[in-house]
Amino acid sequence: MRVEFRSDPRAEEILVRVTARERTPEVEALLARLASPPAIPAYDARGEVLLAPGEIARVYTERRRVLAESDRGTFALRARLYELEERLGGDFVRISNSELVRRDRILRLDFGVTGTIRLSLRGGGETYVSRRYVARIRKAFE
Amino acid sequence: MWKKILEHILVGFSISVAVALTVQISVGQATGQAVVTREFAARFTSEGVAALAQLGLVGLIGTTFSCAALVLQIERWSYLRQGVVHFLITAAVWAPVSLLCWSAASGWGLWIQLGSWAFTYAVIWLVQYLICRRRVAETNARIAAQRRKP
Repeated sequence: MRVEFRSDPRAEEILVRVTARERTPEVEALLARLASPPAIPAYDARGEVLLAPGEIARVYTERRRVLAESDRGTFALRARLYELEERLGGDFVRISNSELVRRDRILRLDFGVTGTIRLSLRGGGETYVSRRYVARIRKAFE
Repeated sequence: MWKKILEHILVGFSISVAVALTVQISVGQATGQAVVTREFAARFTSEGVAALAQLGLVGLIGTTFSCAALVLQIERWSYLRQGVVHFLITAAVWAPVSLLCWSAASGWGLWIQLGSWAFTYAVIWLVQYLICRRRVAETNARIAAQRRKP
């Protein structure tokens, strides 16, 4: 693979063009990587790792810390929740003041008798939704 | 948190007093009558003092409602728990103040005020509950529809 840079003073944003004979799995993987938001530095007792947004199931605050639950375990993040909401983009949806969930990890919502709204996650686990954010979740699945 | 509470106190008090003052002036000018009940005015040295005291009590109602709204923002509480606590806080102020300011004092007065407030509250709560339940069902339908997409 060859990487080229072309300077263009008229360019309004960065444009990455991939040229190949055909769309091979390697090209698909490259396109997916370029299109997805950049990996996020995360920390646990062993040190720093880079988490790809695709492997994060949810991001939440607990005792003033921002944590990410991923396929590789739970990690601490050094960014505020609203910053992560912007960085992670539309693949994540806010479900309460203190939590973002990856859209494709949402399995279903359960409305309890007392009005609690439980969110079941694909692959196990559950969390709770704030009533005020139900409309946002609904919109995310339009 | 304290900043938020202070904000709610100031906003609740000033809005309710502004509304009450507008009503008092409008009603007073239109009818030429006192804006406080005879029973309430009798507790004070003059009608002006009574009107001022009524404004203060209306401000207390506004402050209570504004601050009680913070209960509805406690996300770890269920809607039922939020509703019960919010109702108890608002009823504890609304019922005695409205009885004092706008009702003829009687043994049943407090219970009538409480009953009417409880009924109104229950209807609003139930409507909100049903709306939320329907939204959750709609959201589930959309999630399921997306899952079925190839």
